Amino acid sequence: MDIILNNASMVPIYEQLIDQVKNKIISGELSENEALPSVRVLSSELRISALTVKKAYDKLEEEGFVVTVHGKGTYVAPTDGQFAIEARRKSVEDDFAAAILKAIAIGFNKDEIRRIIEIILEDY
Amino acid sequence: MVRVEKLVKNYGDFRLDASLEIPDGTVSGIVGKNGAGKSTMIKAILGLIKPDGGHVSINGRESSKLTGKDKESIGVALSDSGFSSYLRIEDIICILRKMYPTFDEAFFRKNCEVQRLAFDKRIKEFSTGMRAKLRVLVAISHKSQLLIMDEPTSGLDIQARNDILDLLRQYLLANDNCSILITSHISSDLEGLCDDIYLLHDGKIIFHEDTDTLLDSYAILKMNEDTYGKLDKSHVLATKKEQFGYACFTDEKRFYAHKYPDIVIENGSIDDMILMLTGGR
Amino acid sequence: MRGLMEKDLRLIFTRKQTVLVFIVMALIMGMSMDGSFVIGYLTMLATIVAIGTVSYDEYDNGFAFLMTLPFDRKTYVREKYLFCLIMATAMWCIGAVLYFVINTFRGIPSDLSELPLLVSIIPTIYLSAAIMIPLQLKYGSEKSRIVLFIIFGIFAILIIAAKNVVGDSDIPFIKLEEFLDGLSPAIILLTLAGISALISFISYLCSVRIMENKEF
Repeated sequence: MDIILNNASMVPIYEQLIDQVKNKIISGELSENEALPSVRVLSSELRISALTVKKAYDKLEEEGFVVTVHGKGTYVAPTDGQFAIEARRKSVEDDFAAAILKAIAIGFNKDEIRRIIEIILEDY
Repeated sequence: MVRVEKLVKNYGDFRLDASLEIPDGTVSGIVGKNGAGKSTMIKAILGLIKPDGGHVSINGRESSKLTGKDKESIGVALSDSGFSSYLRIEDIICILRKMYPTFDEAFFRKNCEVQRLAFDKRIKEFSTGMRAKLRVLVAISHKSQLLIMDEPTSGLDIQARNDILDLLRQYLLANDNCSILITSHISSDLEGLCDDIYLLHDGKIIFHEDTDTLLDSYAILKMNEDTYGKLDKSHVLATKKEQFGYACFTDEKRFYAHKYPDIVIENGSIDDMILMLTGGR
Repeated sequence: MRGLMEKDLRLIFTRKQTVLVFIVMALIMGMSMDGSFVIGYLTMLATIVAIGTVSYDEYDNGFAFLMTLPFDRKTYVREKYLFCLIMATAMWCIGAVLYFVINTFRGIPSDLSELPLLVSIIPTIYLSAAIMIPLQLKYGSEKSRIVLFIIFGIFAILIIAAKNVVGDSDIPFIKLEEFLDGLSPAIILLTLAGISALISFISYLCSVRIMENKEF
């Protein structure tokens, strides 16, 4: 599983991990019922602590992307098409939410934010 | 499971007074400067020294009463002590074969070859790096459930250090639910390995945190005098005067990232933590 | 225990040359001198070499790691006493074979009645192990030598003092000799073995105590 982590990023390592596994599931690179590497294998490959990987897997399970069979391992959860679309939509919404939060923190008001979005949209 | 409860040990002016716990399946690191008490802690856990107070136990057995059988499932590498340097690896293999019923000779031989350790040379003739590798290999070659490593990477170059860390990862992969307790003053070694980190300073644990929380939420904030004056210091753990102004150690970097977009935020590392919390370099 | 024995044997064989030189010396002595000297010599040598493994263990702070290996401190002590006994007995056997071979070579008929006296060399020499081991464990190889000298010094002074008290007459000593001559070799052997066993046991208990109170 190709995962690239950025240690210098402000995004926590385990969130980076969650995002990348999610993307792989949503894009279909990881298919249903496929086994994910064990916590220790992945932590050793990525040179991060096992606890970080475990946290990421737990979160993925909570969100319904994977299932953990005790004593066997973690697998990509079986999904229908609708679920994948939902998940993709959700992850885009999250990105917007993060950007808006940041804008508000800096002191932008809602109109200013709308204007930025419109300007960006004009390019497409 | 290693449990250290209010361990006290006095050496003249020095006093170790600390508690910690390593649940099964966890990799824990103890960092601290030289003389902070790391080796004393390790020795107490192994029952090599007698505590002046408190309790130290491994899997429920008081360390001073560990039996041979108990010790079979513990792999140990100490920083300044090992097999007699008059012996050769061939000798050590024969000794280990009789010491540990679970000694994995094939694994040991293979890894000695990988690390290019000569089988028929006396350990005396080995370099520091080779000796360190041998000590770690001895500790990980008998399928122990617990590894206790005192400064396994001390005094080694970056390549040798990585080789040793890779050996430890190999051990973690091969032994389900095993635990490691490792000390180091080169803390970058521990960032990619340990689940949690203890900071030992002057015989006391002054900090304990999960490694990923430490790397994710902690940071160094750098700012000039003006900004520092206006800074909300409710999440600042330590502050240091620098040439450019102030450096603050925080456990809530996102709070400051949102509130003060102008200040420079550097992701926290264990080294920063040691420097900021133990004051002075 | 087996692992410890293996280690001690291998430590001794790291000094192959030294061991070889001693054995060659034994051969030469056995050829040139007469009597059972060679047996005593080899047994003493084996004991010294066996006790010497303690200083190997101690060297370079080796004890700390050694004590993390799978045995307890009592087992460590027990192994040392056993190892000394095995080494002494083994070398005694070699010495005995050598002695009888040389005798046969010289045309002296072998006399089995000598055997009990020859065997009594083992408990006698083992006494020195019983004295040395606790000293080695307590004071380390350097200091224990000094302590040993002091102990022998005290013995010497006591004997001289005793002689002065008894006066110049040799009578008590001659009487003792006559008494010993009167005993059968088998009884002497049994008595020696008994005394040696008792002292070794006390020494063992002391060593265990010393070891259990030690910090590494």
